[in-house]
Amino acid sequence: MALSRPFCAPEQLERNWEHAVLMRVLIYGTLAVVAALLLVDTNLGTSVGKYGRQAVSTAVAHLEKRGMTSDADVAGRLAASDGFRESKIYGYIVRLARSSDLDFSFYAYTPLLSRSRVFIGESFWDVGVVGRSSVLIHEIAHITRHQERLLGGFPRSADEAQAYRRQYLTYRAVGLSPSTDGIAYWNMMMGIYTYVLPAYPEYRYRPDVRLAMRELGLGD
Amino acid sequence: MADIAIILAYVGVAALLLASGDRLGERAACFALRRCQRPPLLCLPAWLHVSIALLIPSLVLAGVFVTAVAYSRNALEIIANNLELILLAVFFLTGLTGGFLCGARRL
Repeated sequence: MALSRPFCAPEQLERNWEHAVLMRVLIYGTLAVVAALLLVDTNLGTSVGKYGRQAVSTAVAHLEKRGMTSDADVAGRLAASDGFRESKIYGYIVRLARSSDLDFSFYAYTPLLSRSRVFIGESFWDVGVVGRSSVLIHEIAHITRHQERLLGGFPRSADEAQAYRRQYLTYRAVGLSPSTDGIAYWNMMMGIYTYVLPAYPEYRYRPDVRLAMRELGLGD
Repeated sequence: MADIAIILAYVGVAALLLASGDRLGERAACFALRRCQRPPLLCLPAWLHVSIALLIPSLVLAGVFVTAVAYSRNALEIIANNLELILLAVFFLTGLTGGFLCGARRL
């Protein structure tokens, strides 16, 4: 028996072919629309608006005042080119997580496919100018590393280690402490535990890190 | 401008993965059809084929996230950080299921 023997009449074959094309249009069309919405929203986003730009400018001014001029320059250039953005989808997810009483914070992120934008998260507005400045330093560390390489490199957790390390090395200069914008401080320490300590074990012996690990219940 | 070029390159890679997944899926369906010698392979309405083709990759993506959440917060963060890479895998998977289901209706 020939394996290529047709099972249907020619008109049936024609109809099946039309079906297959229509199904592909429906399947891949739906996928393309969803993917396009996701890509545009999480990589290009929308402007943070007048209030957001003002808040970022205050944080940039704070960085300048504290002598972090290189970070302030990068942040200032980003602000001038409307590079601080927000994602509606991530905003919705964070609000949903918060309304469900989940322990979830989202300060900011640098998108993978866009090298000149920083996305501001809901938690960014929960902290004061000191916390925002510290978060900006973290994100600017991402942007600087991001711009050095095509697509930022994979996996991005390696970038997180560098960004949290930079945030840790500058937190005193910025004025961040457990009593001033404590949420940003503890979040940074969680980042130190998760990303920096595996890459730089020597940080484990720093007194502030040891104290924070004890406070967070993560051992010595 | 550089950002748009990167996004266009990403879309190109995604389209290539989708097309190769589709071809592979269709080949697999044709192979299965020949093996069973009984058309059509899946006697389901077209809308159900479309739903399955969209549902399977979504379920796999959701499964990855749920496993990550159950495993650790760190795993979830790593997934969120590399979401664009995972989406490429979803494109390939959608192509694979779409191609298979379209191929399974043919003949």
